[in-house]
Amino acid sequence: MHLVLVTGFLGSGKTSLIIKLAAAARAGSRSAAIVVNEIGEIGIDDQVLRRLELDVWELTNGCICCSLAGDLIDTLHKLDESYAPDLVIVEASGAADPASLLVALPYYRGRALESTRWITVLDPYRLPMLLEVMTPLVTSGIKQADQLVITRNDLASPPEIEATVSAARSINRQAPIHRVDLTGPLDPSVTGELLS
Amino acid sequence: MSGARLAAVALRQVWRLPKARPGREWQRPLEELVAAVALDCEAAGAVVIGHVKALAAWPEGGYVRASAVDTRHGPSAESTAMGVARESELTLNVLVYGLADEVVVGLATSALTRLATTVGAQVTPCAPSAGGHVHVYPASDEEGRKQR
Repeated sequence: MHLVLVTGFLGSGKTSLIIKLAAAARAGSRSAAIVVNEIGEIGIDDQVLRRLELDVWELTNGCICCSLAGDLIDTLHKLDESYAPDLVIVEASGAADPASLLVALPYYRGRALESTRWITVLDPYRLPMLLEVMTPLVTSGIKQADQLVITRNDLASPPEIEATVSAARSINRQAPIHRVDLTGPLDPSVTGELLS
Repeated sequence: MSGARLAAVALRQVWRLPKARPGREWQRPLEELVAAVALDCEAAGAVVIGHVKALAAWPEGGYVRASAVDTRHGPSAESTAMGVARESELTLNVLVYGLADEVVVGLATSALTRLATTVGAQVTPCAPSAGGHVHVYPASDEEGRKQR
């Protein structure tokens, strides 16, 4: 079982990216389960994902990053026992640093995780502003990412994209940066790198 | 920014239109809805617009989802294939920093009412949902720890 953690600030495009990743996994005959943790008691993302007939597991009554890390581990155990997907994609809430999840993961005792990947989604509309006003939260997400995905490549202006690349690179020099347009299918080379 | 609380408000309503309409005709009104809520929240003093999103879902499976993340850029929307329907379930989620939940509930309700009036919808509201989990930013400060 491969684990992909998708983080990023509220509205950065996490759900849209996950839809593309799940579609790519399905096209490659890989079974995928999506674990959603949405703030607010009436979720929209889980409704959308279910309407697309994706396998969705919802964590409720809290935030995955603050109090639900244990629930995530329980959910991973249930997934492993009942469904055994090839891939588990976890969508963090976007409102708190998900670093606590990495602390909780050693408590998972199911089938060995073949890989654990951290993808951080960046919104070029707002990243410079967010880095000013929500510095630790946004910086932490970028710093810990294995892969960085800049969304709205089709909509943001070149200066916005360049500022986002520059800001991300100044915080994380290692992680590949992908610029994506989430209104269409993702480039297979990008999905390959994100899901490999 | 110091101690800006995240307001998380969700409203769900069932809308019944005077006559059946193609689902795709909902895209623009929903875009206008999320853009209006973002603007209203900013005008009311929101520190950061986190995410304003709306979903209109039809029994046969189609949906329109609209999203606004600030007031400088236009909203975005996506939809799946859908037929013609008279009744729709509409969900509005508002996540903003720096406003009280009750203020956001008021702004969101007003925006929904304006849209319902525009399209002539008969509205059956469900109970609003707010809070349930407190994020204060920066999360590492003592006040944030106490509230959590």
